[in-house]
Amino acid sequence: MAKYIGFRLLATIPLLFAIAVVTFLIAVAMEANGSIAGQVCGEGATTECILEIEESLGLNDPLPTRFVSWLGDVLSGDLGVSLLDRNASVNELISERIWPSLSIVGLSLIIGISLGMLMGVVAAIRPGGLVDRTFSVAAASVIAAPGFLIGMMLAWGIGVELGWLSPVGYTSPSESITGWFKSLILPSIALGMPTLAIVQRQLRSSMANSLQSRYILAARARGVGRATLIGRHALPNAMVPTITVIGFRAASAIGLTTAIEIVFGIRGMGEMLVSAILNRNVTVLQGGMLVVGLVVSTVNLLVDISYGFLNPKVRLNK
Amino acid sequence: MTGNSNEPLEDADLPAGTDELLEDVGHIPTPSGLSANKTDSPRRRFWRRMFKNPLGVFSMLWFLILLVAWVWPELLATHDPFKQDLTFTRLYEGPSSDHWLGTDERGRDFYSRVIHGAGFAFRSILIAMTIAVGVGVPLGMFSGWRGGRLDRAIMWVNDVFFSLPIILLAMAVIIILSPSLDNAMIGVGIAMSTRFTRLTRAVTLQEKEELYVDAARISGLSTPTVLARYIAPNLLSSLIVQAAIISGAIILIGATLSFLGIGASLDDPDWGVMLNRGRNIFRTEGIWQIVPPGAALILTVLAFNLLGDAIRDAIGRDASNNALTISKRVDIAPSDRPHRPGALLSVRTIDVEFPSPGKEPVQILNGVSLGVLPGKTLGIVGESGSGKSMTVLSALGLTPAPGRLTRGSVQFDERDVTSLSESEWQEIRGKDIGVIFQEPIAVLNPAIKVGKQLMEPLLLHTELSKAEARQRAVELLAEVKVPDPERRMDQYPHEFSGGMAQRVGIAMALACSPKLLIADEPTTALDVTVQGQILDLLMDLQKERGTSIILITHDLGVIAEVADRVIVMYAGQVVEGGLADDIFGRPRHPYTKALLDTMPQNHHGGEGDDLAVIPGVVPAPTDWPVGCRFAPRCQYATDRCREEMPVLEVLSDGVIVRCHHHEELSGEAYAGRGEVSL
Amino acid sequence: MTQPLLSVEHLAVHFAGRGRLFSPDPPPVKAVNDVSFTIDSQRTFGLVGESGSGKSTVARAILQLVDIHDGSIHLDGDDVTRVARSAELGFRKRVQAVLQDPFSSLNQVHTTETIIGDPITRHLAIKAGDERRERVADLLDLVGLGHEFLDRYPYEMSGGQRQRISIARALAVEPDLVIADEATSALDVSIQSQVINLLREIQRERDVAFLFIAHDLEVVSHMSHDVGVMYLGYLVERGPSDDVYAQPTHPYTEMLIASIPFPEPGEQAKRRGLRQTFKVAEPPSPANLPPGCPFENRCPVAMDICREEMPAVTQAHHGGEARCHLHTSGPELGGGSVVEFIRSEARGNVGV
Repeated sequence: MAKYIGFRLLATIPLLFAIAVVTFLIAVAMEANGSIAGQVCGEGATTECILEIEESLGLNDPLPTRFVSWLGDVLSGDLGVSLLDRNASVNELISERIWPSLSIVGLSLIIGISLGMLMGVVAAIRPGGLVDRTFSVAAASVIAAPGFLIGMMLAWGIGVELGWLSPVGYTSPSESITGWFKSLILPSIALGMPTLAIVQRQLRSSMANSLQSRYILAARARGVGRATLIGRHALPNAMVPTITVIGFRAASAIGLTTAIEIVFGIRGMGEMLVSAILNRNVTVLQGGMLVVGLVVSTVNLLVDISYGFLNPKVRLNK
Repeated sequence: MTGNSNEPLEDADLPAGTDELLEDVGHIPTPSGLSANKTDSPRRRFWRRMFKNPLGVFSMLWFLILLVAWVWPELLATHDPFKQDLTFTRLYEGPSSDHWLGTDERGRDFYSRVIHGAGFAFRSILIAMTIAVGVGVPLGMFSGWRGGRLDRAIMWVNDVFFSLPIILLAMAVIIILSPSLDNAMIGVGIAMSTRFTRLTRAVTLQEKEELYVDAARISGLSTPTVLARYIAPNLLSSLIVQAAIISGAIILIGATLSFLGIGASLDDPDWGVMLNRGRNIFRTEGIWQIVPPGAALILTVLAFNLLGDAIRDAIGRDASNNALTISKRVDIAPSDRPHRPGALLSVRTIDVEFPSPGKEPVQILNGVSLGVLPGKTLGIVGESGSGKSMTVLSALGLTPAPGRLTRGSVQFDERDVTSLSESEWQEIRGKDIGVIFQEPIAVLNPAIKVGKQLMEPLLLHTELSKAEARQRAVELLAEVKVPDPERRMDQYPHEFSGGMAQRVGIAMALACSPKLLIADEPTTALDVTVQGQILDLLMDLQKERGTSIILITHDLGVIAEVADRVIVMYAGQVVEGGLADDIFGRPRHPYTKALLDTMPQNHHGGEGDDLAVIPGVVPAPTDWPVGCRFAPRCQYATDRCREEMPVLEVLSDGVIVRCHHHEELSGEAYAGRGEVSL
Repeated sequence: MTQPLLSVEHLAVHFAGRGRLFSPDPPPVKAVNDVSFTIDSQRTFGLVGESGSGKSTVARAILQLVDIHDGSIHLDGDDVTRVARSAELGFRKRVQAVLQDPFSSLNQVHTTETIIGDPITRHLAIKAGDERRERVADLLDLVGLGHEFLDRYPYEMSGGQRQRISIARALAVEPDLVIADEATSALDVSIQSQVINLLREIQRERDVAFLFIAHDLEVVSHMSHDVGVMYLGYLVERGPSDDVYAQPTHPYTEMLIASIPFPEPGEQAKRRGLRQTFKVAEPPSPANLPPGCPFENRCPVAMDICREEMPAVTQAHHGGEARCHLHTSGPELGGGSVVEFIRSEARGNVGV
């Protein structure tokens, strides 16, 4: 197993390098698409402003030199300064913005995966039964609804009309733990609902496949009871594809939290990226993309490793 | 995550289940010939299933409306979607006879804007899908067909893109080009192409291994021809399902980007933009502004997903029954024949039926009786579709759903077990009756260590502690001659060869020292040299423990090796039964005799002579003749055979036979056998 | 002596292992090693072996479906080891095949007329139309199917009928050699004999040579003039089929014969004792073959040299060849039958 994890870790290195190259090229592409400095400094731009920005981006150096110095900075943990606010370092900006986003994504995954698995298993026990059909219609409808729309409905219904929870804003855990948790509930449910539906559907479908296998019939012929058949025999096999799907969903939840943050007025990574795109704030964009890429790669690595735990073939052969 | 075909093809943004299109192995057997309706072509069956599925019909109707809204919006819209009316009272108006859904923040007609939104949705799909299919399908086909290092490199890059959030990729393209819905869709198209690459490659890899592709190459057909005429048609169905589901995802992502303000322009009548507008005001003006675009969005995505599901269900097989499904309890008519005295297991005149929608149920077992005495071996022999496996499964209360036992009675160990409940059966199965199956590796759970699986019946049915059960399991493995049993305990099924896995299967069946062992084609999937060793093992164990055995096989040679008594089955009935020496030495039924004659073993030495044949094919249960079921293939058949079904007769020497002409056969000495070489 | 139709010399096929992109490749699987045999025209050569013996790979190598590692293949004296793309069509016209699984060897989306007609169009330049349809109908006659099968799809046919279609497709281009790879294995007993008889009849009428591959020695020896026995990629014995069957010169052949289940209880009981002298062991992996004889760990009469050295090919009494140390070391049987030797040895070991 250690060897398998080692190989997966090694395989992540070229991936991280590729992400770094792409992130770097974003700046190059943006420059090719019109002067960044000109746009950032605005219409009545002073030469001073433009020169300063060009200098800080190193626009006058040849590409390889720029890349090496940029990569050096990144590796030493320095992501530069925001172009809009010369006093704000990107590091600080991100470390401030990343916690709300990670909190929402994390809680949404906990909700979605736990409930989704439960409902998936329940539905698989009697395919075509009332529970299964109800769940599958519900899951199909939820998957069809974007998370931000669910978020707006929750914010309106529970936040505005019922007034149970605040429809807007984020409380940092350093201020109040309960306040932090309360501020996360609605956004996490909004982001977690589609996760729940996706996990439910995948697990139901792979459970159904697994329950049709001969080893289930064989176990039944040994006198194994229903609960054990479902929990011990079918579930581990059905989890293999489900884990993969959970991994993909975790990655896309990181992207989709952007819209959730905007609905609930939470200043997270997503909101930062969107305004950076609209303001063409290159350094913030690069830093943000890099960090998101890193998080996504970590998620994928975790998925690969848990895949190895669940599937003996993967672990032993490779 | 590099190109492993075991992975699911769908991902987080798409509903699950595309993998069901791909072939899966080892599902529960249904009687052959039952599902294959010969007059029903796949195409006709597809459309029949589509129109019978209410969700499929709903989605098709919804698309019809959307299509009109896209191609000819003026037909449905009542106002110009861009026409503003900034009179204060005309803003955020509620529904009225003029503005069916009210007006928005600039007094524009909301209904007309929602109608025009369909155009944006379809435009998004068109752009993204063109790129996704245009890049993904050829790349996947190339990669899968070509194989090797290039394939691995392509799939590595593909999987990197696959695992990135689509929103992020779309953002990257927007950053590079400039914010607009079309540009965003280029990014989405690139992201979605990875889904098509994966699917196409997986199907191509799988089809490439199919024998008909080899056959086409042997025929001399060129690679492009093989790809176009052989791979592509088989790819198409999976692609259509995937495309439907991905179309829904594209609309969702487009709406999300527009909602974020980096998609469609803020004046456009795009559903995402409308939701963006609604976001700013729902806290003060109420929720209404997000309802119409939200509903249109959800219904459209839902329709795509349902369409995908409906197509998949219409192509695929019925998955509504699994090995857990306990077949429906019906009143079981009692048998009119008494149980065999002293028999350990006695089955009397059982019928098994499979319901057939809109038609009479199909009977696949008809009055099957058998009995096995303590310490003896009963062999059941027959070709595929004869009902031999169904007989024992039904006797054990394991009739595969939706089949059901409708007549007869089963007695085990002096106890009537015909209508035991599932939990009562759980006490007997594994403890008093052990079962060995045909495919030894497929019946072991791939995710659980072999030792653990072997300990399971011990922990279930005995008082042994975990440590004792493990000790006993090791002993059992040693008993079935698995070398190095301690090490083997901690291995997984895929590390076992077929022969070794079958030894584990035997150990598992014998773990609780059952009185009866049922072996369903235990050696069919094994090599012939291993087969002999497994049969030897079974017989040795029987000698030591005095277990009764029922051995099911299609191979008369295997039966001859181990059975004391033999039953021959044909088309759901017992046609002959008796002591093995009688059956093989003096077959009384034309089918038994013909089966023996067709075996090359009985022709050895004769260079020039052809094998005896049984003309025709085994009929499907729906086509069973009214008279003797073997009559159409029988050389002795007369008109009586074609009209009147013979009954099972007991002959003076104890042999039972179902044939009008058994007396003619009894007279003939069986002389067809040549010199045997060993 | 006239030139054989097909001659395979020292054929070896290895499959490269396929690791993940960033892992080392596993060792190659040596599927076929140093296999040589010939087939004369209008004769049948049978190849028998268990799963993993490499018999199907030999067929695939001749059919140009896998890359050949070493050795050569000649057809009528022409080197066809690696057929150039330009010459492929000509080669395909001469060598055809009937493959194992009648359910997957026919494409579900085409009718019989297309399945059999495609190669006719390709090789004989007869476009789809009346003439082609007539030819296909004639072929259906040949394989004993009615003309109503012309417009049927594979899913409308039984296994035996599909296999007849496969045979018709192979014969459509009038080949010299037809390779039948487990062509009857997936069929029910009563259907198997129909197809075997059909193949024999076709050989009499069409002057075609067969390479008949199966795991069932009984079926192979019934079909074939000569047989080869394969074990883990090696051809361990080769000779006239009746002689190999009656007086085998390799212990593995003897084991195969002893394992054939006979439909007669008395006969089976006799063979049981002999069969039990063979050891229970897993055959080695073809990716990790031992230096010695691959059958050594299951062989009842293995000697020390068998563990260390791969035996060379020696002449056998029946005019064929055997690959076993017994003929040159230990008892030095010198190509004679191993039957008596194994029986006396076995008696000493287990007291049968």
